[in-house]
Amino acid sequence: MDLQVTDIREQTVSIIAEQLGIPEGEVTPDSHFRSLPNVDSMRVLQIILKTEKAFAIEISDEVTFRVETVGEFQDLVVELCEQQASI
Amino acid sequence: MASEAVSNCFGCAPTNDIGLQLLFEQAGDKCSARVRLGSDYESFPGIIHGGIVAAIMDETMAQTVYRSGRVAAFTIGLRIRYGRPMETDTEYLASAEITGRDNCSVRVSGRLELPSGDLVAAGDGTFYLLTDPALRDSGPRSPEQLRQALAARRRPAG
Repeated sequence: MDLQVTDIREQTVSIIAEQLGIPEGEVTPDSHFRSLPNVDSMRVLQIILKTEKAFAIEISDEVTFRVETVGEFQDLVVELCEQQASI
Repeated sequence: MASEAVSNCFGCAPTNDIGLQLLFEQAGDKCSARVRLGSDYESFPGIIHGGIVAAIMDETMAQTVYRSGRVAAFTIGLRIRYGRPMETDTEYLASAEITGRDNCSVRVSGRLELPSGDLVAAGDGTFYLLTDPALRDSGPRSPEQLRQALAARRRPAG
């Protein structure tokens, strides 16, 4: 399970970096979304859609306002994946 | 065919002067339409009303369902997420594709984007197929005018 969680976190970073067009190294758990390069509402939506598709999960609309850092987003994705696995 | 001639659909009827008049193209399981709207559909100045954006997505996804099986459908679930404003007098591309189906419903995902690919809105919808058994089961709850129109419209897939 630990490896799986690591995979989820790494893949989430890859999606964020790809959508923003920046190196993965610039996306760390303590990065604030609003401070990342190229970030805007359209790219945030694209990140959410890509993440939903990659992990077959559904992310609620208020996440856009509630989640501030990459780490918080990773925690949410891990939590949703675990919920999905337990269904 | 006769029913299509008298259709006054807000989304796709070419004769509805206040409608969106969307003209669709189909490619496999995908359906798309170019859309450009003026200030009659604004919310804030220069910005198309979010409900109209939802109507574009709903119509595009419903058309995708209809064209995939020649069976009309009712929207029973619709989720729209907005990425950036849709501006007046600007051309956009609305598209949708089927993501799942069972005997009585079809799930569809759609996008509204600029020709450059910049995303304006994403939609996910679930559509209840108005098959003959479904219409029989709904019985008197379906208006006679609706049942006649759907029966006239149905034709073999192709």
